[in-house]
Amino acid sequence: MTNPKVAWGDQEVVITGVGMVTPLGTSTVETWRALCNGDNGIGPITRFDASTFPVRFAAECRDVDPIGYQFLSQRGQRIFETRKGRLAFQATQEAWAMACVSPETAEEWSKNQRLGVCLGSEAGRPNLETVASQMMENRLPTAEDLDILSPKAPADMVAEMLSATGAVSVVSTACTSSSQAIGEGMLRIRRGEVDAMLVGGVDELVDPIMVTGFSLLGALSTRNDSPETASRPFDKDRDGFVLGEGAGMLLLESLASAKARGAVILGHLRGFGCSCNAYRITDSPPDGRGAAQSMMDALRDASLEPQDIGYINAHGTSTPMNDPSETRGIHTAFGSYAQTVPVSSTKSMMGHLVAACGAVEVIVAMMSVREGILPMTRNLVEPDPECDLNHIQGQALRRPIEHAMSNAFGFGGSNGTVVVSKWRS
Amino acid sequence: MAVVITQMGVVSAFGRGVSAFQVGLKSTNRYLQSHEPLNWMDSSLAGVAPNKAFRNYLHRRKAAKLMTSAARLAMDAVGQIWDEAGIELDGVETALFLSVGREPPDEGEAEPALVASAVEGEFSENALATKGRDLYPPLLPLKTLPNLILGHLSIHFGLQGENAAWAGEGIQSLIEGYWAIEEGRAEKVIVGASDSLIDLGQARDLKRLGILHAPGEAAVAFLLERDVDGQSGLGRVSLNDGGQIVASDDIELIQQIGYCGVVNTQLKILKSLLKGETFQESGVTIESRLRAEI
Repeated sequence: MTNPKVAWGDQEVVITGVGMVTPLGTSTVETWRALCNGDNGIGPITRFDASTFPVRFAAECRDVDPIGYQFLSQRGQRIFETRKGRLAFQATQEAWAMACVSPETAEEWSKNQRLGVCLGSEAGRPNLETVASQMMENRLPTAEDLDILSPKAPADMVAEMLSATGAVSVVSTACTSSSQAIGEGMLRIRRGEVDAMLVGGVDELVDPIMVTGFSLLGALSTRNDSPETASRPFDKDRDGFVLGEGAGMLLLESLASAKARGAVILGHLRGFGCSCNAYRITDSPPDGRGAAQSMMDALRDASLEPQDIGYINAHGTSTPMNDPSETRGIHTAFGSYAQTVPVSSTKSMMGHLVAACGAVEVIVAMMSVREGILPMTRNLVEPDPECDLNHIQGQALRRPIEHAMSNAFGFGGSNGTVVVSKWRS
Repeated sequence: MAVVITQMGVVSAFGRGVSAFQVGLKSTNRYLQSHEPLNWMDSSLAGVAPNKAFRNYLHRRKAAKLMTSAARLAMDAVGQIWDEAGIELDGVETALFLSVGREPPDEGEAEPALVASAVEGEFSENALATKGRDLYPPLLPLKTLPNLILGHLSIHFGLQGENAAWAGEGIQSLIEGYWAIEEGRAEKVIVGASDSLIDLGQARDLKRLGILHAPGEAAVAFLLERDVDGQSGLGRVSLNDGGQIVASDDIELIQQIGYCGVVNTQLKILKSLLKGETFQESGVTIESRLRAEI
């Protein structure tokens, strides 16, 4: 693509707050510690009786019970009461608190439409028991029931939480959703449309219909006897991904805004690329062409060379098809350096968070740059020869790096790549 | 640098193509018809769009099985641009941004599995796992993902550039397309919206949400390019600010072809262009360069 480094003044984009709820923890610190230890977040399904299902395990988050939702409007509280609402609320609250935005700045942003929201999210699904009882009682869902299932509902709640008056938008591109939401937020700040953006994603897929649907597709691992070893990206014995749930949120700001208010800068959001595979609806292209395009666009946007990247947080779903395709994409984008750059997939520990995975994994990439610790791919015992990369196996790798890349590739062929860098003033 | 609309495609209850849309607007008639799946409702009227032409653009006939109504309509609208443009669209340099609504299964596609998953009128996980599962179409979770529309279009038209599916407001895709051209991220951008609300479930939900118009379905696509000479093209696009997007409906149009969800705003833009008027809403201004014929 043309994709020149966009020159809209000097609006560098930095990250000043992050928050996440994942199957490994209900905060960034808890999740990060578990990732560094190589812990497992996958276990038997507890959210419903899955005893007769072909797949009986998933990556569930612990319940969260955030405070402060009582200050939301009635509609906001209704959205909060959904699973996605709670996850999004908790992660946003953490990101906002970490960014230490003063009430004066928040008010100024709100008054002048300088804070926007862009989330990756899919439409919600009604609780099947509720649907059944409505059918039994010959009662139709109310307008409120329908409203909270809108893909935009979590974004509206987040905007209300932060009194964000800039544009609120939602990307729905499956597993690429929140990666694209981050890219969109970055572009809006670069062009001076807003000073700050709350970006990220949320998803919850551990329900009977989704488990049934994805297992029929043959996309899920069926290692019911050993859930903790089920997600094994790039391993020769991988057999599918593990459904998960979670939320990841980032507060992005223009450098000028962050400096003006004396914010602690956690990372530099450096580049974004996205592409379409244009191959098949159900398959990834074996040559990884769309993935390669997305990575090359992100590198170009970041004005970096492949050898500048110190770590790739791969999409690495653990499906037979994705992992070799992504490997080929990395080879195309990185050339001979593909054998050298350390690669891991943190889905091995926390499963596939679908619309939230892009945001959560960009935060992981940012933490890797910040802490100099690169999480491993858990359960990677014997790499598939088709996945010939420099995998981080056995334990996390301690290595100071300047730049990291995070990939997210979606069903239907949408690809998104984000590059984050260490902030050096 | 400015951005212009250079091609348009549309399918709605008026019919296929811009000419049919123009004729429909001129007539001021209502193009609503009785739609069998809505027979049990107070009114079965709906704005039903012709839904066959998408097949002209399919590379593989089997792909149709994986398309929702909205995907079929989008394929037709973008296909019209393909036919009309008379230019080679570079697969990598052409971006694609669509505003999409909910993507429900086709009529009767999911119901058998749900019915089989009930025991004495109550949902049972065990029944879903043992009986309902066998009746569940295996590709349904994929088919109903909103971004699958992008996937279909990218495959059939060879588009490998930047892309996104936007949920919520219909004008979002146009705003994104404008910026992609302005910032040099794409040479050409197809923007559009597609929605189909004429199935029983969606029509019923519209009523529950207090939208009392007849349901409709439509897809619109615009090709955006740089404004090279300041006068060619169908309409000049400019953006004023980055504030909230507030959709407002064109009631006359909705009364003619039904309520088309996320497509309403883009239908309104098309109407303004054809009437030689300026569209101004949500920080977006589109000055028509067409001679008013309506």
